[in-house]
Amino acid sequence: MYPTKNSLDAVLKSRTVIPRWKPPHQAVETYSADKAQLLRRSVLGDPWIKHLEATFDQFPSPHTANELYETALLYGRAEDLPPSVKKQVEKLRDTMKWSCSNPEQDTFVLGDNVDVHETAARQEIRLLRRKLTANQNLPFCWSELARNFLIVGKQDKAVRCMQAALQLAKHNRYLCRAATRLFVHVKDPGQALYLLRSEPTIKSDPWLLAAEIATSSVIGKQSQFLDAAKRLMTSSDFKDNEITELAAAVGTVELSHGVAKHAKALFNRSLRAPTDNSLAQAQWAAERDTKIVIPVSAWKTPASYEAKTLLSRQARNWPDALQACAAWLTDEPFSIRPALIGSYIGFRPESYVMAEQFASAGLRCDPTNVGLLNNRAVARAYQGKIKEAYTDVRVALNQMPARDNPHLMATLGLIAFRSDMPDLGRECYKQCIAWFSDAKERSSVAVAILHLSREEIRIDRSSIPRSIEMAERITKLPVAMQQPEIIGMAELLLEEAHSATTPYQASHGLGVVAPASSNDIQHYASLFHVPDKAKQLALRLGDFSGIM
Amino acid sequence: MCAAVTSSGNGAAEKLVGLTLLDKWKVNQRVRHDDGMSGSSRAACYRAVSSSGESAFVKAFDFRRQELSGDTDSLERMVREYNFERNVHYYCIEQGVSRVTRIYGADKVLIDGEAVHFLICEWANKCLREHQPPGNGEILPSERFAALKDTAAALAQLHQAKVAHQDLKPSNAMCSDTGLVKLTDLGSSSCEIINAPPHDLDCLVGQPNYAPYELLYEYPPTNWRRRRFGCDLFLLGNLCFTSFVGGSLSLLALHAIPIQLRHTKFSGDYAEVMPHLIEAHELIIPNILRGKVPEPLLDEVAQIVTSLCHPDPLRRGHSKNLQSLNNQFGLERFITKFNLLTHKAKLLHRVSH
Repeated sequence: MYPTKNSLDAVLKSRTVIPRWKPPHQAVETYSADKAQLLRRSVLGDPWIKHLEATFDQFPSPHTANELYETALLYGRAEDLPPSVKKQVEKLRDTMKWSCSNPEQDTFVLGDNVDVHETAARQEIRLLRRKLTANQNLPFCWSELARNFLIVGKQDKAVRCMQAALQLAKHNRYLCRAATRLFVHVKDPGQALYLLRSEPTIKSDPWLLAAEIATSSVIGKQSQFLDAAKRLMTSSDFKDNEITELAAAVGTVELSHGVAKHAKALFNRSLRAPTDNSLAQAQWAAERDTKIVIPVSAWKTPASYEAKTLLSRQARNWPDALQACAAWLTDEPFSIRPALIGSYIGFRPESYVMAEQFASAGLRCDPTNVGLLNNRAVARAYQGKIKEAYTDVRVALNQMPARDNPHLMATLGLIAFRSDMPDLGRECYKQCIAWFSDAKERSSVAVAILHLSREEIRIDRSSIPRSIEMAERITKLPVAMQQPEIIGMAELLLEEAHSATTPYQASHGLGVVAPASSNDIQHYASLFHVPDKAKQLALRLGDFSGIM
Repeated sequence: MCAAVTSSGNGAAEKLVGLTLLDKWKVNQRVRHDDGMSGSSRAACYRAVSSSGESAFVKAFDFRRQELSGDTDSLERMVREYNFERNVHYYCIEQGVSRVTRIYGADKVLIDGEAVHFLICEWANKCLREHQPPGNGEILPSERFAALKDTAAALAQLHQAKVAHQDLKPSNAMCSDTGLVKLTDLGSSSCEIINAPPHDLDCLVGQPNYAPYELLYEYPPTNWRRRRFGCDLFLLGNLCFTSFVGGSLSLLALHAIPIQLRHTKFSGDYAEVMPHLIEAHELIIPNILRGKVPEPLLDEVAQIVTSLCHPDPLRRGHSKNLQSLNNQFGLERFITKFNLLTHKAKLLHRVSH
């Protein structure tokens, strides 16, 4: 049962290089640039350009200019053409009313507005449906439709669309990896493995092999292609950027087996030319094994938002972490991980709005995710939106597994505090702390105590010295070293303690409309499946010094 | 092609004006100089007239320049290309290929003590690029379809004779006075019967902006017919597209796929790019042709272009031909279609006016 499936600990505990799923024009697996071959290929156009230039000089008509322009454009040399040619071509194309343009690149602005994905996805779905109604033979439109359906939380439709795409373009690497991601996302990794293993090139394609090894890790099994992967990595047929995810996948397996030396060597190999995914994997691994060092040059990897989120989180640089996380969510709007992490690390007052937006964005893809509902309830409670926070907790508690989740009980305690029911809140916190303690979830114990102390300071100035002492003790705990948020929250508590000048007054609670009666909250608190041992421990709990 | 130009050099090949070749053709006008693809196979082109007033096209080769420069590799290649072009022209006459500009003769002439080799071919007034400027909306669709039908018929004749043209483009389809379209410039062709010319070793033959994708990506099919005839089919489809639109399909499709997959950026397997190109075709062809082709004929034209220019050489050709065992690249059905489209377009024009 522990740690709870949707907690930050659980999210960060394991990570594999399951393929990223981006639109086709951003897909990293389609990059293959052998410079020598491309140089030779680009030179093939030179004699033709020269020949057509000579033809244009002799017969300077718009059509000879157009042929020259097209050939030059094909080899990326259109800029070098004389203005006379370009002028003729422009004139011609104006009369023909068409132009040759690059496909539109997705652009996004980093900011705190992370709540826009659903609208964009719905627009995109309308557009793609229109295209597919006119012509169904468009595999990448189907896969994009699947991706957008996933963003709006329609998983069944996404799977059906992806199956159509796979039928239309069999054995396409991009689609195969995208489907892998989709099947893992909808918790059907077996289907992903079946698809990958039925690919004819599975043993010779490093991208597919990396996906297979990572997917096998997700279901806790060892890939049957590890030997093939090791052979591939020693082969000179592949360049560093093609091997990077495979090396990271095998490195992760080695790390989980405790073979740190091999893992380090593999991650070093992976970091020679990382993708955003393999860089994030390396950052995740570096947090677990300090011998894995990421070179500075690796941080130039484009779109490495997840890695930057993890790095900023470790450095307790919360604004940067939130910004990188927002970019990560924009990059992978259907993914729950950025939403969970973003809504958790936005624990400072200035980030409550953003934390709520992160959680809301994640809940659009997975409306019953208990972790996200809990994080949103916390963010809302701190903003004074008690009624909405209470609704989130109740929605979560409608699912039976949520009743095994002590985090939700702590949130109910927070809501009780904010609803002017401090005794009830204290009782909830006490029970959940005992519950965490019983489950040996030390980091959650520390976080719950910090949240409780913040509430105590808020209502009673006399508790400040005790809370400060508690926060200082928590920052020295080994568990605080593992979870940067604990130190961050302790620092926040100290800031609030030092700035708290106004004592609690009865009027403090005025204006706050309690979302429910105390009996109602008590009823919900009683729904939790608190273990008997934890209940007994809660009775014995005093000021938590013992538990610390 | 018929515009006169002044001499650009002083090699022996530049001095043919005024001479009578093969005792029949009096060279009276310099029309262009052709530096060839590498700038080495330099040729001077002339118009010659017979005593009966018939015109001919003369292409004079300057081998001496190569010999003097000491570049024997280039000289050898040039001589072999010249020999191949001459032989393939004679071979076409032997095989009764009537829809290719015919050769009248080939010989050498001594000028200032230097031998100048020349080919004399049939003269055509205008190429398709000038007669029916691509993308020009004033040209009647029926005329374009008729020209495409003739071009397809010419290609079919060549294929029947086991020759692949490989450089079909608007400037290589010539319109005679009778309106009949003939193909010219067999310099890039290949023949199953004649010894392979040097360009047979090159992956990309023909003008790149019209070329099929598999050649741009250097993934040519290994089967001779699939590679050469498949290329011709693509070029015919591209000619159809270019005639109506004014721009090449190859270029447009390559600009519609993810940038990292373009042939100048991607060195991986062509199979990875193919589905993107197929999708680009599905989106581009009907959309761009709309408004350029009469609406009632749009689907048929789009279908022709799609099947002729299929990015997968294994799936290129008429759907019924693809089902047959040995006739994937048969053009007869396309000739019939273009013929039918010519009549339909004429009818539509008559109805609308």
